[in-house]
Amino acid sequence: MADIVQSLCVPSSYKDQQYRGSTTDLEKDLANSTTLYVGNLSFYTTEEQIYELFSKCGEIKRIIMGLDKFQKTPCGFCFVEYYHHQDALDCMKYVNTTKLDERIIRTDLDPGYRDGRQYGRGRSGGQVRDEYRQDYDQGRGGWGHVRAKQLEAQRAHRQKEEYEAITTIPTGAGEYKGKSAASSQQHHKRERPDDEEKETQGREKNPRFREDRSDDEDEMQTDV
Amino acid sequence: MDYPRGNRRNEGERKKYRGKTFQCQFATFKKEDRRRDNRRPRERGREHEQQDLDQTPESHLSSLIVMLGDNTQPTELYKNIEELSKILQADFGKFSQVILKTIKSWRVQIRLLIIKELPMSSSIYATLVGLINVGKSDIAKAMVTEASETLQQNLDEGDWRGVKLIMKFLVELTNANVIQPETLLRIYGNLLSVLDEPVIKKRRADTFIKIVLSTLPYIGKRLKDREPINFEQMLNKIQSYFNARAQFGDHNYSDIILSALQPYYGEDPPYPCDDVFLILWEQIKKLSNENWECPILLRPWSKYDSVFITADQHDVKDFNLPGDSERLQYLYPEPLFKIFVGSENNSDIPETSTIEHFIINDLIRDIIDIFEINRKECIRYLKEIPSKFSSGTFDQIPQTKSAIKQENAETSSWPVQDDDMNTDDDDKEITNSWKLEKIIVEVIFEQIFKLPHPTYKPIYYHSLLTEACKALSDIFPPQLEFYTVALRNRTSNVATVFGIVLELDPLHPQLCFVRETLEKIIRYSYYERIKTTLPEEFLAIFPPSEPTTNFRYDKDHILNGLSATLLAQLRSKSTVDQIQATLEQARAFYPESSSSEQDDAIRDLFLQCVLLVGSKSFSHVLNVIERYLAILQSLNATPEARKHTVFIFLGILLDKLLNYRVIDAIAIITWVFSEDSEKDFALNNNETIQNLENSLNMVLKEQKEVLLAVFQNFTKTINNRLKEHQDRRIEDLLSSQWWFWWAYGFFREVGRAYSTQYAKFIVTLETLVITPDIDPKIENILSIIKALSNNQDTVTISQI
Repeated sequence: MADIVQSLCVPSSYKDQQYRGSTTDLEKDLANSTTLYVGNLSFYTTEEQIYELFSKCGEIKRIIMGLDKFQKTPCGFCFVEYYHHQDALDCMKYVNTTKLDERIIRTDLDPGYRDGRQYGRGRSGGQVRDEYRQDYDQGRGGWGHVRAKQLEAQRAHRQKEEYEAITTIPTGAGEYKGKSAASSQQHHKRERPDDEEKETQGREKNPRFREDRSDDEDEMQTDV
Repeated sequence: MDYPRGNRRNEGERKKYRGKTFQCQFATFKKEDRRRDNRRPRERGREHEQQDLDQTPESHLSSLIVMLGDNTQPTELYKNIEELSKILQADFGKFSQVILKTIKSWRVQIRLLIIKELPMSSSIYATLVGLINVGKSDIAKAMVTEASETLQQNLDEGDWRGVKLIMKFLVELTNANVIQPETLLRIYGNLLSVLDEPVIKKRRADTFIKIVLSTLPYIGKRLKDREPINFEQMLNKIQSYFNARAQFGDHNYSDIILSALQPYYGEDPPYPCDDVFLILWEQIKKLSNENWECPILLRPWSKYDSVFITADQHDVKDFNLPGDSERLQYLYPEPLFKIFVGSENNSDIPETSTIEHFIINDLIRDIIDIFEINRKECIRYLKEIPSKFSSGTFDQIPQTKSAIKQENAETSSWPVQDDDMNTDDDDKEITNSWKLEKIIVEVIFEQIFKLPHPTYKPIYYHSLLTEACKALSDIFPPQLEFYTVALRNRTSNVATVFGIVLELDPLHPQLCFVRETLEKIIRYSYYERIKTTLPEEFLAIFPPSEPTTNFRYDKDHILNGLSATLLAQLRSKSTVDQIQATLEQARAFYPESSSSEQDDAIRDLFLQCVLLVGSKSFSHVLNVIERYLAILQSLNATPEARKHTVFIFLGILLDKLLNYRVIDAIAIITWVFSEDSEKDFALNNNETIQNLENSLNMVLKEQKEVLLAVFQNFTKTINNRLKEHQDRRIEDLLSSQWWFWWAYGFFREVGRAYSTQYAKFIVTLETLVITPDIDPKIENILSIIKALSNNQDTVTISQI
């Protein structure tokens, strides 16, 4: 109704780089869109929670969870598709920038889901924003990937600096003397958590993830 | 899909895209003036870009105009009005030819938009027009003409709020001496001509008279002073309508509607839920007795009275009331909604008997409706309300009058009156100190509980409350908390202490309220999280364990092996034929059963497996249903089969199955009213009723059938219970029998919400339902349906 303030139900300035079509096509798609992109979700937020919140604006046709390209686990975004355009608009007005799972989520009108868009496009498999993120975010796997690598490099460097080779060998250690050099090197290696360890850190157990019950991770695909 | 915020590569393209495509016509207002203190630094870059794109002289002017209404500092207000009137006049000199030729040019339209969208500032804008009128009366004339044309247009469209706001603007223009009081009375006369119609229809007349009454407080004093006789006549005419209306008394639709829409029903409401329209008339009469003094209203024009006196006044064209037609939706009677009543100290909100109560609540309502498209802006405007009233009205924004005077003396370039010579009531000290946040809470909840439907989806109001908590973080949350407690205590209208709630009958509304709130919270979050935050005594009504699957074919079951095969096949996406083959094997386990019993077993097995596979997530269940839709449909060919499916799927997926046409709405309805589920009626109430509504919404084709089934089932169930209670001589069913309380409440709700649909075959319904021994309670639902759906209120008042 009001024209002197900007409506909240307009698409943001984001343009999907992989969208195939002209700007006019995009405009047309968005003008009738029933699909929303939802971002800044916690990795732990379940589909049911999303369903519960977003169904307040209208009946949901389907939810497509955004998945890590390699691990096929939720990586903090999803698509919500309604039956009616108006419901998607209402969602922009009422749900955008509210909190779900104690995080402020972001919604945006979307030209429509296509197969393949459910995967993160970051180098490490998740979303690009998690690649370059500088802060620590527990709900999204801790540090951003690039930052995590930097921190790790710093830590390793520092450790190397502060590392002092044992110069005075305590008495009684004589019998191990021969092995000491080799063992200290091994020690050094073990201290530094290598890629393997980091991987498991990033993949902390998700308590709300019902993976124990079945094994078909790729069910999210919509092979209608 | 990603949002690479840190990625600078796309910045250029993004700008282009934003500038070209989704630029709302008037976005400049927001971009330029609204970005305030709390903008995040990240967006600053965009702001500049935005300004560059939109800085045309037109948009610059428009933003200035909007900004005028925004101004919260009264000290600057007068200065700004004067400045702006000069700018506009100068600017108009350049474009006047164009404007006078095309009266609907942007400038005039924008001003009218502002009138209709910034209702809180109409007195300020009227003052602006008043000043323009002094210098360039042709601009003011054009505006008056445009306003009256818009008025006619809004009337024809039945946009009652638009009519009201334009009227309010015309009223303020009269105050600013742009329109003569005599002219205004003639316009009022146009509206009141509804009372001269040969047959006066109540809701139609109420609608127009309400518009008149809501604008009177702003002009009453001037009309009384300048046109005492004609004004008196007008009030007498309205009074005689109210007399006739009251005499008409019982058996009219308005009263039935009023009682059907009351927020409280039953024996003992916490306050009388009278019609707001009648209350408004009482408030106006009180105001009239007080010589139309309404000190809370801002009167910026009074400062320029001596200037305005030299200006021309403009005529307003007469307008015609739209003829009575199906298209016009007249206002429903509106029962008074209050939360803060009773023994609590409520001196910090306006009293219901005073016109201030109406003025403030009505303004808040308008703002909430108008700014639905942007809840953040909505809260900002709500927050600024105190600056639109005299100082001292609300207990915020401290300001000193002497400061204003000094400021004015220094800056005004007009020969203004000395403030001491202003109308005498200006000097009255106002020390109401009302709490704006308390009134806002009350109005938002009034909107949420508005019957038969809230104006917008309830989630809008919820988000609005959240925004209010953010924007007014010190003062708003306590009011909300206070309200929530009041609401819980008033559920079912019986006051209790919280702890006692837990020991109530499981069907007691208060217990249901608490339990369902908890269940809702779990669904938004997760079981463990909520459980750990609850006080121990609540665990009694908290689900004992995390929600999980309840698979029938465990290892003791004869079909366990087969079910395992089936599950594996479902997960590996086997073809429909393969699944069919596996299902057929089940027959071998029941060699002695009839073929239909075998069918039942197969269906049960399949449904259970589908549910188990689907239990992983919403997407899983939809995928599995979509993939094996053919099987589901073939298994559900008969009504009994569908009923069975409904029973298994319960509330969870009914709407989906309905959508996929696996089941039909009748099956759900039969299930809801079946013996088994009757005892859970209240326990499952929320889902059940939602399912009912979904079914109703979806099946337009079968609508009549479905609605009839619902009504008949309700009637049957309630009648049975009534008889039972009659035999046991239990009286006062509504307050003693919770089951009845719930069931009858739902029945009312269905009747109220679907009145328009029901109205289409009301005759069929009556012949089916009405029997000689029909209970008055059921008859009451029928009359609600009839009253609500009947826009053309046939109950009329003979001419006054």
